[in-house]
Amino acid sequence: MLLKLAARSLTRHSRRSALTIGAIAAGTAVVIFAWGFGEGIVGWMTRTAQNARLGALQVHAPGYFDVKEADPLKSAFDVDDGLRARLRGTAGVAAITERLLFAGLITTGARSSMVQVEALDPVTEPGVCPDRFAAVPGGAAALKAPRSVVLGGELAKSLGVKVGDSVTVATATAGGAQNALDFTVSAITAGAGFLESKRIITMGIADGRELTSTEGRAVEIAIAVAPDGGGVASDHLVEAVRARAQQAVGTAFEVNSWQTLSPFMRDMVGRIRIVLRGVSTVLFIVVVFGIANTMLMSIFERVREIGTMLALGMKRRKIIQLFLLEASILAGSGALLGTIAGSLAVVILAQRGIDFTPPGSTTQAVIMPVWSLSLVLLVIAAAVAGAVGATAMPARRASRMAPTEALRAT
Amino acid sequence: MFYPIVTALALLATAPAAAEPVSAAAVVTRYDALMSPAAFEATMVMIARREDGSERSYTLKSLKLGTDKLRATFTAPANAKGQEMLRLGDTLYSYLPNLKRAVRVASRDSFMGGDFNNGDVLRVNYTADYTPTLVPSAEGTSAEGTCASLEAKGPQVAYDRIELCLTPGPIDKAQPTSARYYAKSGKLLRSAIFSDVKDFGGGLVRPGTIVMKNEVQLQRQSTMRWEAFEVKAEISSQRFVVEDLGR
Repeated sequence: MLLKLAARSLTRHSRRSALTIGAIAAGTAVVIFAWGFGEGIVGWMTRTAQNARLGALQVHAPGYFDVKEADPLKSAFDVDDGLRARLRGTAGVAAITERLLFAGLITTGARSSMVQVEALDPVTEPGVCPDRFAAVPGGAAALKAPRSVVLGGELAKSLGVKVGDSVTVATATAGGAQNALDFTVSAITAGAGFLESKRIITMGIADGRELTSTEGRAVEIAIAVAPDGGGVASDHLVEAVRARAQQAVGTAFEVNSWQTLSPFMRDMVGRIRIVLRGVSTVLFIVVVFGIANTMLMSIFERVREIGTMLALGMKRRKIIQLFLLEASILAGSGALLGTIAGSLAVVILAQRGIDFTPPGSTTQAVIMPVWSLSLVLLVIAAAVAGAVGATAMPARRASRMAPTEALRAT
Repeated sequence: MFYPIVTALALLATAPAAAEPVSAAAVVTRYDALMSPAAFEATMVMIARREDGSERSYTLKSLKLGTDKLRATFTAPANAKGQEMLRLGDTLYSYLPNLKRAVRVASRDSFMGGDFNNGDVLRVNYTADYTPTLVPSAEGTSAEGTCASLEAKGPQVAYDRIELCLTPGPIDKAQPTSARYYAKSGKLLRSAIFSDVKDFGGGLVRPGTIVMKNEVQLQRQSTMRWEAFEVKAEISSQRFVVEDLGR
């Protein structure tokens, strides 16, 4: 009976009800889409960090973070089969790769530039960072030939070199002596961030070791963690494997997750989620105020009707329930419509991807919005709960009216 | 019969003694004695030429005591005036007057952005740092004279190998003419020409100019010219403490 009364009341003021439902639907649709897009960006950043640059985990010598900016070679450590076996044998570790990082000078003889050198193993690196060589013509094969070096487009332009040209890379060895080797430019990457394009070169780790006299050593060992869905390992899984790997290598090494290694990305992810929560909260408040406003107007207009119902013996409790039910129907319908609309937008765009150029980058990323059932249910529940909460006080006040006064109202 | 024998004996007596073969160690010792005597005070001008053709000139005074103490004080240009560098053993310090403190620097770092590195200027002690072997001539050149190949004794020395040539003749009169500095990979990093041999007084006759050519960044070159060079009997060791920098 209450349901019938509520439905009749809502349909009697169809335009107002439609507007309220529409506002709630728009708000919830925006929340669903904004979350989905935001989580898509987070997913892209996480994939980039894990699959394209850092790996899920990295192993360093203690004190690496103190020297990595000035002279990462100072923290190079010996890598033996025992260490490799301990890491590979850790549950959750999918692959490992060794890297050397050091500062150097690249020169054609006529033009020079200071650079950061990344010396990678072209055989094992793709197993840890499958997207590492995505922007390199020829992929990891560009580093397979000895004395090959890959440059960014900006650096190649400033040096005036093209693929096949010779360059010299000079640096100081681990002991402090000067050393230099001649290389052939095997590939020029396109589309990296400006800093990477201008200041980073990549060579094979064997060449890097020869150049720096660090045979059998590495500055870091990167680790891939077997994903638990979505293409990358979740933060929770990464942390669990990190703890196991740390136990396996003991105190002689530090094992850190990509978030510790890239606080910038970690902070960006955190900020995106804070912004999303803020937007969602604002929209939620708007939705709740909208419902509250509608219900207040409804109660105000129906004073005589309330008086009549009270005079006919309807319990005050039932009056409250009636208004709460109306609010719930409005909120539930609006939220349901909104989540359907928002979900459709997320699912359709997730098929195509959204082209997005990250700040400071020259390439486009493709964002895949993420749909979450738990988010949908949460939004609907929050809309209904918010509506009920916003309506409770006006409904209680309405139920306390004296029937005679209510009947006399105009 | 008597007279030819006497004549032959007289000729033999006056004939100059056969020159003793020069040892590799003597080459290095001679070089260190000329270029880095045990104690000296010198005034030098370093001119660094960059890739764009521009030149920067620095004037400095240097003091040396023993094999492990050397102090260089810049007197020109204005933006470098007051900067100092101090070598104590294997440690190098750079004093910055605007900070009023000294910081440690690496041997391998470039000396004031030129093609000499800090070790080239402040740590010249080939006897201690290199093992010499005589070679017929410097690789890739047709330089004549006494040449030695110097192999680094340890990984901390700036160059893995140096080919050093002196003028031919008695080692006590020989002057450095050229040097070639190699990386561990065998790549030629620098080449130096020593010239302008002059008498600095006190019996010291040595090259007054070194032109150091960068063989990797081919447009770069630096020249070090000694304006004055005085061998000292003694220099106070108090001049070679970090706390004395800037005074």
